[in-house]
Amino acid sequence: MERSISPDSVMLLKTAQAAGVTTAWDRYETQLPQCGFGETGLCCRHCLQGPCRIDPFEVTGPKNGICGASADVMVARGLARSVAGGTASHSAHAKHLAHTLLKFSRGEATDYGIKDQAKFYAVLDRVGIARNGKSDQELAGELAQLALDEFSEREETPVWLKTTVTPGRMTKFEELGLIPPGLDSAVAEVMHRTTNGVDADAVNILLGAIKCAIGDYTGMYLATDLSDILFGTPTPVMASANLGTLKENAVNIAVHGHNPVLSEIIVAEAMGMEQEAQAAGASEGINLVGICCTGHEVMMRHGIPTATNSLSQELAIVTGALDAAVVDYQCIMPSLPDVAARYHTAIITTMPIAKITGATHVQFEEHNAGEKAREILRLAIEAFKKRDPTRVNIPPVTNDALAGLSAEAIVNVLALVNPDDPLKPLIDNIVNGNILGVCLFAGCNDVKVTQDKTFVELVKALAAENVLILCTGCAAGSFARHGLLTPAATQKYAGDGLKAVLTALGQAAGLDGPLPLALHTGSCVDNTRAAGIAVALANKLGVDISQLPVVATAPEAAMEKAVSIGTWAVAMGLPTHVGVVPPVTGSPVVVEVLTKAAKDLLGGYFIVEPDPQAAVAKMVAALKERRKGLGI
Amino acid sequence: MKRLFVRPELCTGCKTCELACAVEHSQSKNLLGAMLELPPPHSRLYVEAAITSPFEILKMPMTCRHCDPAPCIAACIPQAMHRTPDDVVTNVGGKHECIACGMCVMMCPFGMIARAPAVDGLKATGGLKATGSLKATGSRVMALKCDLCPDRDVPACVAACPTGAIVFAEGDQFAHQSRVRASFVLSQARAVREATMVQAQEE
Repeated sequence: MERSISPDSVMLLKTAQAAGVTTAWDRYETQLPQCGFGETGLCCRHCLQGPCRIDPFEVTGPKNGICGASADVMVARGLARSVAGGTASHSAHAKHLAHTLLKFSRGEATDYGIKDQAKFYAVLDRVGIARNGKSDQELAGELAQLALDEFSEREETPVWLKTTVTPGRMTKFEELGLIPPGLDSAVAEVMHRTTNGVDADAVNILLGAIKCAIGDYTGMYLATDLSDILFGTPTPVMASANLGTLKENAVNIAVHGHNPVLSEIIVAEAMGMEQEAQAAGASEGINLVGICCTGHEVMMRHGIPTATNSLSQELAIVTGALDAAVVDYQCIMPSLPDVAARYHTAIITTMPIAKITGATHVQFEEHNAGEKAREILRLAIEAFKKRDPTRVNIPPVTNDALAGLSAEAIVNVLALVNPDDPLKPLIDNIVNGNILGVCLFAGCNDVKVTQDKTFVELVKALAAENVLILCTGCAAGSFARHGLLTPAATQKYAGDGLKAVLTALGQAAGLDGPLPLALHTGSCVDNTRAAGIAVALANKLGVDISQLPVVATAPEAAMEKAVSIGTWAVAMGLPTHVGVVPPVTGSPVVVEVLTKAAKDLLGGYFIVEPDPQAAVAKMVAALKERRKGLGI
Repeated sequence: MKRLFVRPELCTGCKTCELACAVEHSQSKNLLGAMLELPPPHSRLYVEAAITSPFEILKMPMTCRHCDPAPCIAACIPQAMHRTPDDVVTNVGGKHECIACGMCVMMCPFGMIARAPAVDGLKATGGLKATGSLKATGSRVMALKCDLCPDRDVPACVAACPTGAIVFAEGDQFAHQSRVRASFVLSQARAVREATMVQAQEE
């Protein structure tokens, strides 16, 4: 199997091999064959009597775990814990932002402020905090406290849930008992009900997992709101992509992970340290690039290039030109210091809960953010001095990428066509068939499938079918690296109807061409931006999300976070495609519920299909079924 | 003589057999003890992955076939590799000691012989990872291969396999089981065919 179709990855994988550097792809091969009990979800380690396994072939092996759990129960428990893992990750990120806002309000984080007052006030209005002449600082404190309260056990419905979904969804969630009892409580509840001797009904466990995933949605929505308030709501910005964005004559620093709280300050402080970098011999000063979703945060707010995705993060070091990787949390490979040891790259961890043996740790806190950012930048400049110029091997590959199409930015573009009723042009074009429907591309790269191949094949085929494409996180990174976030890609790959719409919008926005083939809606912790657009459309039409011709796909999903996002996408009513088979095939009941019964219950359901062409056919059929339901 | 046979369609690739084999060929014969030993115990069978398409990885436990005539015996210059009266091909207890020349490794058509550090049963007792170096244990490199677990009634890999993918049976016994399964499929197919013919006649 090819490892990647991304030209920079392909080139650097050869370099890595020649240099004897081990990457995730090599480590995957050493894991083969992978254990079939894990692959099918038929392995349980939830108590000390285990590990238990159930024979998927039902020939001679056991049919139940020691406690008596059936295959269905075992698989459902494992999946629910995955959702809890994903939710815990997104919620931790959200709480971090709430704490930053709280510290700002107390005057303890002077490097931060309210960057987008309009969004600040809009969020306050939405969550029901009256302004009453209070100062922004005071209001920030109230908002931060309300946000933090969302995570604790309570009787009320979380505010960021009830104020952001359609009335139809809320009714559905209430009927099915799917309102999370606080966002951290939702995680704790899953851990409780999946421990030995609690929930032993697969369907009930899955409902628990869905409840937790709705908590994931709520925390994510909250996090995006607070990010925009603190750092600004993204607006369209032209940036670039690929590992060719590293510069031979600059101190190259990658910000990597998922958290804008640190990277924003790094961006701000880097400007003041250009001279120090030049004095160290870097004629082009400091060159910041992004990896993973921290990269997308700074790309969509500052036009910082996106160098690469999570799966190929090690290859950034293999260029020999990366002087420092500053990492926060999530999707950071523990192998980075091992790879860096072969080069001069400084790996700098910054979060108290995310250290890596062999890395340099600079603990980052909001009260001394600027000072710590400068310390980190100095470490990078010091590392630059140790760079071996003979080992520099930057792939000559860069692509333009238009980023920053947040929900607000998309509405602003639409408003240029119809200022009184911005959503009308979009709805009209869906109704008249110029646009068949909308697809949100999300999720990771996964070493089990050729990097970017499924992403690229799916997006080209769906765009040709006139499907409007939104993308986030590693999906957006993948498209950026293949030049698909450009007007030229629209000209080349969009169907006639979609091309006409994107061209009209592009002209209205003053672009010299259509909008890009895929609209970069945010980082992977911003999938709620896309949900926000779907909710606005549904409310405008007076229908529920589950009736809209909208689908989601995570063709190369890898992380627990993708499992929780996929699960809430289903809960929101979206047909949701996954291109990597999750560990559920050991249970006929779980497969049935996720792919079929969920449709009757929630409107959304999973489409598991590794083959890109078959996946396109299934997603197009789902969109057409929705259109038929709406009578269009 | 009973042999190891494999039903590849039942292999999940969990590698429990590899683990059980290594433990059985350790000094302590239990997992925890084996993990602490020097030299580290070595499995004598291998679960291999055949990637047949981007979406399918076939898994197969590969075991020594104890061939007759055996290329490894033919190639063994010191005549360490030999066939026991129980029809087991092994280099333990042969005419002379294994000299780790690797001729058998080269000749085995299935790649079932490893060349790795091992405790030479007569000369050393082995040691603990925590306390000693490999050299201090008196171990040396030897050819390591399946011996069908002489201390056990059923080889460790067979006993450990959770799905019954590895079978310890006489050749004709295994073939008979395969025939029974195949005839079951055929008889089902025959029933379908007969139903189809009845339907065709009615039409």
